[in-house]
Amino acid sequence: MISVQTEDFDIGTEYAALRNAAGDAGAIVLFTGLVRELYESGASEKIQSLTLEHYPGMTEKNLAEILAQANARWSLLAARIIHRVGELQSGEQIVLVGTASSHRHHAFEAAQFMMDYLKSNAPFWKKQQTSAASHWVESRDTDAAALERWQTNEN
Amino acid sequence: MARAAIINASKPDRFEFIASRDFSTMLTIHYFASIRESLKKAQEQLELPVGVQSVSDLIRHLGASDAQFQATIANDKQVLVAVNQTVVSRDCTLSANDEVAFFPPMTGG
Repeated sequence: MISVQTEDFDIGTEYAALRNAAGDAGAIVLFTGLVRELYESGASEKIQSLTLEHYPGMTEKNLAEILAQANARWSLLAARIIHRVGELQSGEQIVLVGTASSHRHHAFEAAQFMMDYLKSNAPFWKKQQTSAASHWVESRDTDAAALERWQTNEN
Repeated sequence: MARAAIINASKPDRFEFIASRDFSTMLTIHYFASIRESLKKAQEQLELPVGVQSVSDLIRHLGASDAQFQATIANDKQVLVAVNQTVVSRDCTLSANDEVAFFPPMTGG
């Protein structure tokens, strides 16, 4: 299941829902992404808030595609993506990826795959606000490299 | 959205609109994030221009009359293009009623 929402989410609720949907799961992995106070370690300006813009319609289509690809590559009993949009303060939760499987290997890898795909493929854009200025976050080469790993390492 | 008007034979003084037939050749264009801010617009609609067959043609067409568009989109190869909500290359063919979007590389997660 996928959700694109402004509201926060509750890890406990999501864990229970995944567990319930999965039936006889042997492993559940939940990843949560948070708004960091410092974008880079050693950055001089603290982030006050982050605004997430997205492309309604394409976002949902894209996340559904990521979920379908994860289901095709790993044996998942249930999977979940939640991505928040709008203005978020530092320390807040931004994204949740959850997977349930019979074995940990599938749950771990599928969760990492979904996060790597989501970072470079889903149409979200972050704008940071510090006390000095606001600016759009630039994409990172390391994110592209993380994605490439899944394209070359078919398992 | 263009609609065809016909005269109802039983009520010749009234026009009826047939919603099911759509003669529109409009393109909808969306701009996101830094591109939206540079161009100061989120969306526009235009008639598919004569001679515009691909995304490259459209970029050339819009850039010719808009220096800001030229600087922001035509001259920046990092800018991504989606047609009907799928990322495509700039040689992708366009058709009437397509939804085109221009945006910078994604930074979600």
